[in-house]
Amino acid sequence: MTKNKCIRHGEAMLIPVDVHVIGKEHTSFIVAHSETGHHHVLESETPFVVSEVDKQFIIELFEPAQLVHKKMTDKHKTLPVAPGKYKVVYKNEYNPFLQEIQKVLD
Amino acid sequence: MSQFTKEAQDVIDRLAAINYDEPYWNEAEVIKCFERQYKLFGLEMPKIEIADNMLVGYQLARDAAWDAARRAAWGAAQRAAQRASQDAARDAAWDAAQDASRGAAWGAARDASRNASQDASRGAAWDAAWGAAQGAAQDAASLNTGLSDAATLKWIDVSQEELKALENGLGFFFPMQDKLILVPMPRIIMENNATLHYDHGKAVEWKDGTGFYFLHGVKFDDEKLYQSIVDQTITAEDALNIRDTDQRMAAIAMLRPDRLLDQMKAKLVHTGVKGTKLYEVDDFMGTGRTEYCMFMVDSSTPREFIEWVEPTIGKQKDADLCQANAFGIPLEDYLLMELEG
Repeated sequence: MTKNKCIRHGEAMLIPVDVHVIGKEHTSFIVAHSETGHHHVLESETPFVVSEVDKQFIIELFEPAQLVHKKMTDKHKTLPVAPGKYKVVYKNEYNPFLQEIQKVLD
Repeated sequence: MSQFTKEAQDVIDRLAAINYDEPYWNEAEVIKCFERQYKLFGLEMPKIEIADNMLVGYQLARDAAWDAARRAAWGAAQRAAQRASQDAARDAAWDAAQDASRGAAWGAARDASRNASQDASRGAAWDAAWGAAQGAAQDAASLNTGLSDAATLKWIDVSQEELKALENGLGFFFPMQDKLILVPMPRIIMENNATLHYDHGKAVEWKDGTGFYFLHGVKFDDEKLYQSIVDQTITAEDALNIRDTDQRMAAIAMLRPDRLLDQMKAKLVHTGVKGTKLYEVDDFMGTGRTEYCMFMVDSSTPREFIEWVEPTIGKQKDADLCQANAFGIPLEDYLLMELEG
């Protein structure tokens, strides 16, 4: 069982999981797209694997990586991400005017 | 592998590179683009008129007759391209090029101008305005079909000139029967790369000062109302009483979180272990409903913001539970989280 903890970066969260990951290799991967183009990017010198199942991303890191916010000002701080397997989830919020749930825009 | 051909991607990249914040009007180059374009059509170059802004452009177009030759030439080339079987490829590139050229913002700016000059924009003038970015997007769309028949190649060459004109500061043009009216690109300020928004003046503004106020994509013709919103002098009650629904929503979204909470008479019901504050708002916006919101300070920046909470979760009066639910994770996992940015 994984001992890693959840990592929140803006409106995206990496949640440790224990599943088999089959996917493509990356050294840089956009974890969360920002409406302003200031994406949240997972970066590592060592390739990691990303699989996409039903529009959900599962990531397997073999070495430490960093979560970086590609913005000059008002940016989220860079966070270290320990090796392990994570699924990416995105924050939702309730719209009291429409009385419905919607994705939070970062 | 990219869904776009190299040539189409090149156009998309050039559209994305255009600086809308500080457009530079190179009149001589823009005119040369149209001289080449008219030559491609086999048409005589008409008289050129430069309009300082879109309102003037529409007024000039009002008095001009439809360019029958434009319809014939453009229509023939357009129909030829539309006969292409690679509709999906064309449409994908069109969409991407429109996104790159901020097509939604362009459309809003054009429509704002048209609405403002309603009296002037009757008949042919209504539809005569053609956005330079739209033409350039046609270029990408046509290139992506991979077709090489004469009509498509001609369409590509024609559209290429509009891309060059756009890169030299052209905003809109009216190809009328006996004249060509050119309107420089206004300065366009956006949020989210596609929504007109500026809280320090006009989001769309030409060099002569003509322009329009937009907040979160909503146009404000009433300058006093706009100013009261950006100055934060408007009360929540006045914001709620704005008759236009879109303007009302935009105004409320602009209210500073602490002022909004204060004016909604929100009650603090719980502070979470990570600092999130949960507020309860009775009779939300006069609806009779009780709503809940989280007030947060970003862990990386000094930004404060509010996120609303589904009432069934909010009424449990646990700020951390609200946060966990928003991410779709168990409360215990949220509480164990150590890294946040």
